Amino acid sequence: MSFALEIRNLKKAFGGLEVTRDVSLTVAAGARHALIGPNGAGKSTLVNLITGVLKPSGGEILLGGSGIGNLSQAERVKRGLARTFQINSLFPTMTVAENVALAMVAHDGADARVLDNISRDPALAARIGEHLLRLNLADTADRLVSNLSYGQQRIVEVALALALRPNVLLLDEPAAGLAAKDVEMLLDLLKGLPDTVSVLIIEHDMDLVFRFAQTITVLVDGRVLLTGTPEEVRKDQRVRDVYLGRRHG
Amino acid sequence: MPSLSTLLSLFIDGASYGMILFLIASGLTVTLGIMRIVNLSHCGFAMIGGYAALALVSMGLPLLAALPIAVLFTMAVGFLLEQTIYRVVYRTHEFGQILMTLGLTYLMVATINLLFGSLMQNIPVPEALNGVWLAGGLTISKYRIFLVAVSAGVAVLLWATFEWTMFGAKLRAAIDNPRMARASGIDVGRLLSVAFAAGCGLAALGGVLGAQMLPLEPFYALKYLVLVLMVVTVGGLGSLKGSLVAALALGLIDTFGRYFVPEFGGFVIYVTVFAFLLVRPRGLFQNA
Amino acid sequence: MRKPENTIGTSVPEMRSALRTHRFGWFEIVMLVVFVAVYYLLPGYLPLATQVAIMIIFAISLDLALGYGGIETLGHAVFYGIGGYAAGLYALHVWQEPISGLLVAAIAAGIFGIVSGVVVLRAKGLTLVMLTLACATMVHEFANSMRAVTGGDDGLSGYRIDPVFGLFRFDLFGRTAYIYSVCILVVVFLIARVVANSNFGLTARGIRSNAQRMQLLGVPVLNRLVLLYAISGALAGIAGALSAQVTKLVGLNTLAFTLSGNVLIVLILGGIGRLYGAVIGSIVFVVLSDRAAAIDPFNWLFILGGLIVLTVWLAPDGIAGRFSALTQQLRGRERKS
Ligand SMILES: Nc1ncnc2c1ncn2[C@@H]1O[C@H](COP(=O)(O)OP(=O)(O)OP(=O)(O)O)[C@@H](O)[C@H]1O
Ligand SMILES: [Mg+2]
Repeated sequence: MSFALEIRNLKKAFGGLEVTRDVSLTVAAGARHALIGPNGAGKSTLVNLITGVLKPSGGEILLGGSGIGNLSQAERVKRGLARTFQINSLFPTMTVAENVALAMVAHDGADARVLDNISRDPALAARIGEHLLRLNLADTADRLVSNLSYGQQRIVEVALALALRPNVLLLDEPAAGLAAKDVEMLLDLLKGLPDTVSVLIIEHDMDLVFRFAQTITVLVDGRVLLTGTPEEVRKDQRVRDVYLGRRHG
Repeated sequence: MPSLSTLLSLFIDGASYGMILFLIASGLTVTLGIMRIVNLSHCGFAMIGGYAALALVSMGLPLLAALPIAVLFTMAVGFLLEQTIYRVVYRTHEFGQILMTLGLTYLMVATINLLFGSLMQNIPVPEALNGVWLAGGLTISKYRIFLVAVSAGVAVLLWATFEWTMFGAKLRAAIDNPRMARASGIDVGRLLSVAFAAGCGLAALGGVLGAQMLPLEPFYALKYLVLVLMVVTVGGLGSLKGSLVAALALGLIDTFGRYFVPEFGGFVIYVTVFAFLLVRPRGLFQNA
Repeated sequence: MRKPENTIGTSVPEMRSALRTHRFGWFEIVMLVVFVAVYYLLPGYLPLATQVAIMIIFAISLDLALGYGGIETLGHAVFYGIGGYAAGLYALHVWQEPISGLLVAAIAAGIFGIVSGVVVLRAKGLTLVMLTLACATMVHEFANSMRAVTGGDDGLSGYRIDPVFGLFRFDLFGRTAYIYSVCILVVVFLIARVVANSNFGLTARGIRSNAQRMQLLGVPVLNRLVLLYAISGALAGIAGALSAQVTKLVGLNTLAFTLSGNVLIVLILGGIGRLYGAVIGSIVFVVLSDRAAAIDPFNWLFILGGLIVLTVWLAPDGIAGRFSALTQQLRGRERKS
């Protein structure tokens, strides 16, 4: 079976502090994979290593079977790896449609075309329209991103990543700071994603994780504690210890 | 190869020119360091000081008496503007600030033009400082020496204020990290007002003393602006030491450049600045 | 090419307004009418109107760099001046034909845009502002020192310009100059509009909005900015060349800091990032400074300075910005009623 994303023996140390210790992880094609763990476990660091924000001290990262460890962030995006960011990495002075258009045009490698009129490109318009409809953003197409609510901006963040037609989508705490009804909206959206997209989601909202993920990896102190189905994880004594222990200690 | 005495007098010319640039630029670098406000009007304050002194001298006051009055007057004008128009300037975005202070400069130019006319004018040098010293084939303008001495004194005073006083410590903290300074109870707004007024005073000092080299005219505020901005940028925003070094270097390079390759005139200095900024975009002494 | 499939049923025109491209409307019609009317009704003002047209071209070029790409420059006059000197020298030494003169100027300025852009555009914010300023001042001083070629302080003059298309001589009253400039303005406006409405224009706006994210979408930002800078520079070069051909003189002031400042003022006055802001701003600026200078040659800087301060203060989006805010309000009211 082929893996969409495979991580082999990844290591990262900040000075003397080992934050990622020999992590191996596979995300199957079409998987709904969650990465959980207590604060400071090294989850964000792992995402940053995968996307190329940070350079690993050792180990390999494979996307669709080929190594991407030496590629720049932008090149990884071109290979089909997309991620969501903290909220402020949208294009705030532009409309929702323009945000999506930017990603699509960039993905097509058509961003330097000086002669193509974007508003005279029915194929592009249709793609944007469909994309926005699918993500329930059609009503906001002509609104400036900076005028949207936080929850809506979060969704646009996902929309931007998806417009890159990724094979693998990394979501770093997409539900953080969202109101309950926005979380539901996000969950609906994620559940509606096509099988061609493999998802790795980092999330503290356990309810969301257990309702969405088919596979869960628990990361503790930079090491993989276990990987399993939601049932297995829920039952595992070590996981309980980690979470409950932390909470009481 | 020119004689040693020529080189020496070139050196004195360049150094005094550089010190004037430093006096004018010093206030700008501090306000820029704290607030990141690009104040294109700053040279206007040097001009205001120069013209104030000119008015006083032509009323019969000796230059050395006119100088402190002109400086205080300019500080008052600067303070007033800082309390009013600059409040609006602070609130706009970076590029808006550039434009607004450019507009303000135009207003200064127009005002000076209205009051003093458009002719180039010099402040007469007092008798005692007129003339030259002759020393073993060397001719040294007394006024230039006076200039270097005074501005070196001011530079030392500035440095001492910066390093040893409470005010200086607060300024350094605010330049280093305005938000942190604010959080630790420093009234950065007031600090800025004081620094702004003091900077205007220093600029005025430079304007008055330097009127021999940078003659007074309404477009003074625009004419020397680029040079002063370059001093600040090359020195590194917020660094007094940087501004001093940069001003001296620019003054010397310009003077020597004009002497050795007169056909290239002011070109030498800007090529140097441009090349330097490419290599060190944050200037000599960068903070943060 | 994929066929536009409208499976879910969003209508295409809806996206059009959401993508905020420039569309022709009454503004362009009014402007054309005004330009024609000036020719017939105000023959005495044709030289001034020609200046307006040239300033519009210059401001449009700046709008592409600043309003679309967010390239903050205090040295845009460098392109205007290079274009002017290129056109002047070309007429003096090579050929007096005007259209090819414009092309030569555009190419010279465009190449300078690429060369200087590659080094300057790596910087951001204040450093970028200072670098553009230093770059322009450097060229200014260079032109000043090359007296033999540029004429130094006296400026470059003594060249002729042939009739346009070999047919229309440049007459004393500036009629040909006016029509010629307005035609070039129309062409430049159309070019700028194509660029602004293109994928590339969208990319430029994206870079202005969030350059870092653009990089992460896989777009080589520096590369795109250099291209934009070159296009903008070439258009500014055309403005400078037009001025050189029409006035038969290229002075050092075409490279000066004041001109860089003035064109910024024009754009801020009119409103950035919308092309027609350049048009409104130029008209207001050139006419006002001419009138003010005519009425009171000594004090007109008061008006200019006051205008700048007030505009940035009260209408940071410029006149065009005020205007579109107003029309949006009106439209909103229509929708409700
Ligand atoms: N740039 C850095 N330099 C030094 N230490 C770092 C750096 N980035 C992260 N760390 C440390 O690495 C550890 C893991 O951080 P990371 O942000 O990956 O945790 P996390 O699992 O995402 O936590 P959270 O759930 O709070 O987001 C922490 O102890 C953190 O202090
Ligand atoms: Mg984290």
